[in-house]
Order: sequence, then structure tokens, then C-alpha cells
Amino acid sequence: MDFKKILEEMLENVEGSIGASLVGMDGIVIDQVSHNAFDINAVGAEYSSIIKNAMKASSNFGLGNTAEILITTDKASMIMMLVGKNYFVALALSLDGNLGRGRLEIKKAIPKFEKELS
Amino acid sequence: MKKKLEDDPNSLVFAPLAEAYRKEGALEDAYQVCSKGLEKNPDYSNGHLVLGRIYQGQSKLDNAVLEFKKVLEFDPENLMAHSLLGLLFMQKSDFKAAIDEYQAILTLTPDDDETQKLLKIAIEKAANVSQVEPAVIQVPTEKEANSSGMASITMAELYLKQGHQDKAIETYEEILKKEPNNTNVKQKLIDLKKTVVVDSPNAPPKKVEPTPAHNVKSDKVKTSHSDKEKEAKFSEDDILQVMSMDRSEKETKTKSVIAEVKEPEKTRKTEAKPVSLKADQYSSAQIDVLKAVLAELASITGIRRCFLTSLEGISVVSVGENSNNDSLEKQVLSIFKDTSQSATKLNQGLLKQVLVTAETGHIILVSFAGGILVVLADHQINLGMLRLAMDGAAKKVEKVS
Repeated sequence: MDFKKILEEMLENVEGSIGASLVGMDGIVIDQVSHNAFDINAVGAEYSSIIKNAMKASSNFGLGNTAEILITTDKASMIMMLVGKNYFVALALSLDGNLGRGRLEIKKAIPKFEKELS
Repeated sequence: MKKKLEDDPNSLVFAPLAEAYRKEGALEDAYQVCSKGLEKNPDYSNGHLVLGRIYQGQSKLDNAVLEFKKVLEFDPENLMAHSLLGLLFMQKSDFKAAIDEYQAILTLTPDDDETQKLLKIAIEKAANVSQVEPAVIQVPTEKEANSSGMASITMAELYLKQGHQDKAIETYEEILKKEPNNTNVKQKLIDLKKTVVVDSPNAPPKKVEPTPAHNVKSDKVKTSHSDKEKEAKFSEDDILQVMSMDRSEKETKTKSVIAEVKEPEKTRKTEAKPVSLKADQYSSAQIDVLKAVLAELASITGIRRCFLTSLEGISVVSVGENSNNDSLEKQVLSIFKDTSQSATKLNQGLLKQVLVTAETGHIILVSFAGGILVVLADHQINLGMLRLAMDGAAKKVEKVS
């Protein structure tokens, strides 16, 4: 299982990316890559509960299953997309990062992760 | 929205519904919904805005002008109404009226490049039409300017050009009261005060000489007005000179100002922290503005519902489909709060926005007007355009708060 390779590919292809990880819904990181000192492991632990809450809210608002969450702060952006029911992939970008490209690369990577996880 | 209006015929949802009909090209349906809605809510400015646009679509330009003017009676700073009126006046070749509208926009948003271009075109056209009696732009009195919040960089620059340094200083100070971090204005004020100190206190007001880049049509002399009138009015040349100021010069000056006035990182962070309000801390005037701004936002095709919730999870203003479910407000609030805490723990700074994309729609959560703005939108909505609209809404709210 070469999750790291898929994550590295994502980082290479997305301008302004800081780090990427594949995380279980329990918050445990399965694999991760990051530029500089960005702590992508902590991201998994912190944001997994938020994803669960977002899933509940989407369902309660009648919007169906959650597919993606984008968090923007005054320092960075974080895109998270569900991989099946039990995992999610997170990509952190600097403020000048290419969000559109980031979303596209994650969408391309999801089938690869799913294949590896099946 | 249709069902909501059927359930509650007094609802303000008539405006977004009419706007949706208008966008689909169903102008008669739009007119029926909007005119009925306005019968029940005659003071609702957004309804008049929508009706004006419907008239515009029906080529009833005079009716459209009347509606947009009504919007401005209720909301003098409505940029959309000024902009649409400017366009209509240009279509009707009433260039002087168009100039007034574009100038009003620029007093509110001085850096609006598009409007600056439109103003130039309008002034040029007005000058071409009336060679004998050149168009002269009325400037509001000091009292009017202050009371309507029209203090602006453009206005100050125009005062400077006429030699009214005291009024320019007052205008800059007025701007800084509202925008204390505006480094560009800070520097302009410092520079201007230095000039005033150098001048003799008893000397007549010194007219600031324009730089060569600004010095256009200086040979044009106006003789059709008395000196007193000239003092109170700005000529086309004045406006053109200010508007044609070399952009690169402005940018260079701004950059040097930013470098000079740059404050410590820590201080700026503290200032940027948004103020949060409890539900009972919103005044009725603020709520009225929020209702109008959110209704305008909800008129965008694809938005199902917008609501502002206070940080205790109490809905302050809600527009669009209503869930009647308080626990949903609390749920989204919890997402925002948790994410905000996580962002702080991860040293990611202040949370600005959370976007949740699900199978059939989006939930957007943004820190807004002391609370959290929640927007529920259909899946096919253009998120880029929505972001722009939300930024615009935030600016409008900022101005009145």
C-alpha cells in the first residue's frame, strides 16, 4: 500500500500545498507528507470530529451525505474529502495556494485510495 | 420560496422569489409577485430594487428610475441602486444625472476602478453635449456629507484641489474614525498636516498644485458661475484630474506608507479579531440592515436560506426557507466553534469560513456582523460568485455597524 506516494503526488501537483494526509474517522493518521514543519498529524486528530459534526448537519439540513469540507483561516486553507465511509484525505494549502487545483487533485486521488483500502 | 410566500403573504421572501422569476425571464410573473409584495411591504427597499430591475427588463426605464430612487430614499448608500441608476441615466443620455450616481458610488467605494472609468466616460459625454454650459457637479455641503457618511478619499482630494485643506483634513479624519487601519489615509493626513503647518496661519487657503500627471485641460476657464458658486462646486476638470491620477503613483505611495506605518504583527492580529455579539445586543436598526442585506443575498439563485446566529446559537435574522428547528442553529454553531478552536490549536490563525459540501447542497459558515452567517445553497450554485456576494454583504454591514 503506497499511500505516501499518492499523497506526495498530490503535493507536487498543487501549487502552494503545505501537507497532505489520509486519516481514519477516528482521527488516527494512516499516512502523511508535509513540507516544512507543518504538523499534518495534528490536523487529523483535530478535524475528524468536525467532519462527523458536518456529516450530521448536512443530513439534518436535508443535504444528503457530506463529500467535502473546506476550512479557511487567515493563514491557510484546508480541504478535506471523504474516502469511503471510514476515511478522509486532508490537504493543507497556504493562502496563495491553488484551491481549485487542490480539489481536483484530491478527487483524482480518491479512487486510488479507495482501491488501496478495499 | 413560493410555498413560504403562500403560507405567509406578508413575508419578505417575495423579493427573492420575484428576482428568481426575473432571472428566468418570467418578467410578468416577477412583476405580479413583486408588486403584490410591495403592497404589503411598501418600505422594503430590496423589493423596490427588484421591481426596478423588472421594469428595466420590460424597457420601462422611467418606472425603473422611480423604483431605484425609492431604494435610495430608504437606503442612500445602496451601491446597486446607484449603479443601476447610473446605467439608466447613461442610456437616457442624462449624463449629469449619471455623474451624480457614479460620484455617489465613489464616495462610498473610492477604489472602485470600474466606476471611475464610468464616471470619466459620463463626464466626457456631458462635456461633449454641453460645450456652452459645462456640467458642474454639485458637492454636498459638509453637513450633508457627514450625515450621509459620504466622507471619502475622493472627496478629500477634491477639497484639496480647491484649496480647502481644512475640509480635506476633516474628511480624512472622518474616514479614519471609521477605518482606523487605513494606512493610505493616515499618510495623506500626516502629509497634509505638515503642509498646513508650513503655511502661514493667516494666509489664504493654499491651492494644492496638481502634479503634471494630473494637470489636464488647465486652460479651460469657467465663466458661467459666480466665485461663490465656484467655491461650493467642483468642476469636471477637478473631477477628471482626481480620477485620472496616475495609478502607479498612488500604488507606490501606498506601498511606502504601508512600510512606514507598519505596525507590529501582534497588534494587528488583536485588531483583526472580530467582535462577537449576543442576540440581545443587536439594535433594531442593525437588525433591519441585516434583514435587508440577507434578503439581498438570498435573492441569488440557488440560495435556500441565510441566517445569522449569535454566538449563543440564537437566530438573529433568518431569510428564506425556515426549518423551525433551533437545534440546527446550535449544530452549525458548534461546527464553527469547534473548527475555530482547532484552527487556534493548530496555529492556523482566525477562522474565516467553513464550507461543507454535501450531495445536494452546501452549508457555508462565515464570521459575520458579530455572529455567524449560515448560508444553505443548492449544489449547482457558483461558489466563487457566492463568495463575492458574501464579501459585499459583509462590507455593507460593516459600514452601518
